[in-house]
Amino acid sequence: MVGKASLIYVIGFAAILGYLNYNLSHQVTSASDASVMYYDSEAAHSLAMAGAQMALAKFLQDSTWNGPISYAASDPPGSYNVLRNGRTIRSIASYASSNGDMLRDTVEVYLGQRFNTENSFSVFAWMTNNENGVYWITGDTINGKMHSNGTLNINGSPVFTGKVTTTAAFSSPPGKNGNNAIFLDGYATKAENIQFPSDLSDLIYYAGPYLYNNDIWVSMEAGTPASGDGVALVRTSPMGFPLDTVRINVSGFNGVIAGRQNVHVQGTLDGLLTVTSQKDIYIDNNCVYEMDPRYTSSNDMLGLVAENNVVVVDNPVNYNNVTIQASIFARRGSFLAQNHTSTSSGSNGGKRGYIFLVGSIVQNTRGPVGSFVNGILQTGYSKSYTYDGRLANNMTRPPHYPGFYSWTLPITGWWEGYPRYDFSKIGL
Amino acid sequence: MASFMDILLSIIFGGALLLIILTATTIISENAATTYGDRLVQESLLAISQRVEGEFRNMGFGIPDTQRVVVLAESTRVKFRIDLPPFGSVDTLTYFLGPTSELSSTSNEEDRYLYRQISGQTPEPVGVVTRFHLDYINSEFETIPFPITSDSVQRTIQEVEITLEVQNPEAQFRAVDSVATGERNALYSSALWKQTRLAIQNLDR
Repeated sequence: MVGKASLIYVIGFAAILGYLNYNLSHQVTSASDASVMYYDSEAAHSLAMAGAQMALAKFLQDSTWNGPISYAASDPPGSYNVLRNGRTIRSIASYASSNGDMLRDTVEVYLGQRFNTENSFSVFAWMTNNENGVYWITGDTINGKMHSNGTLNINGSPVFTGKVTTTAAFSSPPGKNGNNAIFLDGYATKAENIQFPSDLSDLIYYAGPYLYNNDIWVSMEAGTPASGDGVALVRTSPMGFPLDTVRINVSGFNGVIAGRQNVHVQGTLDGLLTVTSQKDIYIDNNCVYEMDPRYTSSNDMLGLVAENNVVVVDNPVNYNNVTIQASIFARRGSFLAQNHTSTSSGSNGGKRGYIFLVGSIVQNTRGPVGSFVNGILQTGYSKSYTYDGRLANNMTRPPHYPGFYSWTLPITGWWEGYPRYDFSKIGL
Repeated sequence: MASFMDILLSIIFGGALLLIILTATTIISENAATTYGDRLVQESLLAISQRVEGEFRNMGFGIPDTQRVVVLAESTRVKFRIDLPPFGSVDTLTYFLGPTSELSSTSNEEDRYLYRQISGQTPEPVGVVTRFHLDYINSEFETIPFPITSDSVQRTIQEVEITLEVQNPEAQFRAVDSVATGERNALYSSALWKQTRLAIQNLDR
């Protein structure tokens, strides 16, 4: 009798204590449920954020990117999928929570469209629409920003001190297949296409009375060593009597001398001047500033803007180096050396020394100034191009120098989904 | 005699076991009350943080660049512009602490309502908190000292640091001799949530 009762006692108490133990254990473990739930929802949110950030990074590299980007991992057990629909980037994340539910979170990034103020082409040390298949090679150095709307061909280790951008791509990705270029300020491919102006009518307009219908020869003279007394003599033949003596720094002169035909230019500039041609510009001799901006404060600035080509003339005065201090713009053509493959130009089998350029070069198609074998000059000019650092300021440029507009897609809105806690899952 | 001894021993063992169960029940009840209180506090904190974090993250959404986002930046009160659902109009959202006197009926003398007010509407309580503190950080990752009153300084706010504490409104009273000088005479379940450096993307434009 007592034995049976004891057995019932033991079983009964064991059951009661077991139940109490279960409840106690459950209480203890469930105390952390809320923080686990918070962790899970934060994990889902972080995944959605990561997706949005990845998409923006992609979009920064390639403004035509539309997605998708997908990512899935077992640790953490989640995924995200990102798409761009017009001006909205939507990142949707899924995360397997610790209680087995699938949590979802969304981040939406809204892009606006903003019209930038006009940029000057002279902010680029070098720009082309088309690189014409010419390679940048070891020994080449570009100081300042560089852009091409075409493919940039690189072989060896040229040095680019400013940021390099291309609307297309590199012939070989940086670091591969011989492209060992040194980018000191980075690079970006698939950048926005920068459109050249459709014509140079603005410059014609600003030239006003200084627009000439025939070929002209412009000789710049610095005057006295004092700043501000420079003139430009305009002739209709190389040695003819000056047709006009343009006082560069007087009020009423807009800073532009234009020709409907070819324009020849040379001399020393004191002031701000843009020389433009509806055809070609020929550099007959050195074009330099009275005050060299590399060594002293200078307010001299020259623009050479041609509808077609800007040409370094094949003549004896240019056979032993030529110095050009100017921002060069060739809308439909190139910056090139006349007869650059000639072996009879110059006194050394066609070698004419260096083009010492201080300024910037913007051209439709990259033009040749010399011929090289294994990087060694055979005919024409070697290059020594230095960017005029004053031009890096968008507001500093030769008078009415061409500019471009660019659209940007700034982030105008960023919406993050709220966490949605289901408290019933933790018995609250 | 033997039966008498069996009964006597049974009573002794049974009584001892009953005593154990009663004691265990009491302990379990106390622990359950504490744990349940903890969980209630956590739920409350989670619910409040859900709303605060969600809306603070989206501060400035849909607001043109020309408009200032943060209108008022104080340690326990913030007013900012945001386009809340349904989207399409600029709302002004304010979070602020109510006075402790509003909750004098609870044992906890520090709890108070955290209010949320949309534009000119009547403020609605988001929850009961014992602490709601805000710090504002600029793009140099420096905490901006109070008072933050000038327009130019308010425009430098890039991140917000939020501290929220929720305590159980009901106390677990302590024996008088166990209360040290400066301590409260009761114990309250408490949960603290701190969102350090909440990056607000709409301020970084």
